[in-house]
Amino acid sequence: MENKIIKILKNTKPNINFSKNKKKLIKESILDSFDIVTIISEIEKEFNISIKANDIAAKNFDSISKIIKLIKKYN
Amino acid sequence: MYENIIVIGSGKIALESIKTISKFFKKRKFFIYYEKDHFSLISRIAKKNKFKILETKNKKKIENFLSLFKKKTLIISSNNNYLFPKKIIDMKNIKIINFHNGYLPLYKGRNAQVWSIFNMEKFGGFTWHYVSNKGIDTGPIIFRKKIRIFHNTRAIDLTKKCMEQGAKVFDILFTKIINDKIKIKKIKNKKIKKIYYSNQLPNNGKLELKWKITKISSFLRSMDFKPLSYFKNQFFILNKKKYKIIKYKILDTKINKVKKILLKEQLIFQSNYKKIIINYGK
Repeated sequence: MENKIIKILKNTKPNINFSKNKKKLIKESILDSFDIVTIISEIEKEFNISIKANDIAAKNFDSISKIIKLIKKYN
Repeated sequence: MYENIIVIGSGKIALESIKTISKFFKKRKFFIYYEKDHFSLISRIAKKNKFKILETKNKKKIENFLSLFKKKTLIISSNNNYLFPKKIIDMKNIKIINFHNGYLPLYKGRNAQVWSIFNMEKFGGFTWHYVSNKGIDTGPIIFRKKIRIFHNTRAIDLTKKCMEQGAKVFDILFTKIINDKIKIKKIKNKKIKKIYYSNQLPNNGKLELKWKITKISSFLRSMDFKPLSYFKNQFFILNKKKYKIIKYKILDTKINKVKKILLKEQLIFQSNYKKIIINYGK
């Protein structure tokens, strides 16, 4: 799952090495709102899930682990 | 200058908006597909033009999506059933413009073209306007134009004209819109409060047999979207029985009599200049 998420992140931001970092994606301004929106729609497609409205919040996309946690909620 | 542009809507006007935006705007583009039917041509065109796509029927989800945008964002709403919540309209970094299928401030709400024809107006029209939180279709007007309604204009004809011309206007005005150089039109008569809703039909879909032939013609044409099929529930009542209108035909005629002829499965209205044939069933 992590690899798939990294691939999605990399497609969105090709210049960032997501595999190494444990950075705060939002707080460190690696991702902005438009990127989150993009990532959400890619995640929904890749994992065949529909993220609920209440989960669409920047805090759920602030790190790879948080994204994994979110997806696991739907599996 | 805007950092993001979001299109929400469907149909020709949304499609043409996407094409126009793609010509002039190279930054971040998003398309929200909020419709009941499945993924359409418009989504494919949006994707081809490098729009990111969100397909959802969930209003709250759209609201939360839009709340995420923190940079200067323009939303183009065209042929769109999603009503923007106050929270989004009030966001200072977001501006929303909407295409309305009517000549505002007349005929606010849904299906303006239907009501314009039914009410036997001489013109319908279209309006591009900003969305405000003061009510549906009340925001400052960017551009509006009247479109003539003739004795044989059907809802589909008027809609097509509005969409074609509306798309051309958007193409012309787009660079002014994204540079915030639009001069707002001052409209005198702003006191019109009536709003039409999507669940309303002219005379609740009932054709009154006592109507004049011109009114019957307006009633039938106002909901005629053939070959599309939006409104299917028109009916009339005869001898306390309800009959469904299946199809109709309006012909010009020179017969100097006004009469009503009831045949099996056909109702014919005839006047000195018009003949209407209605096919009906139970």
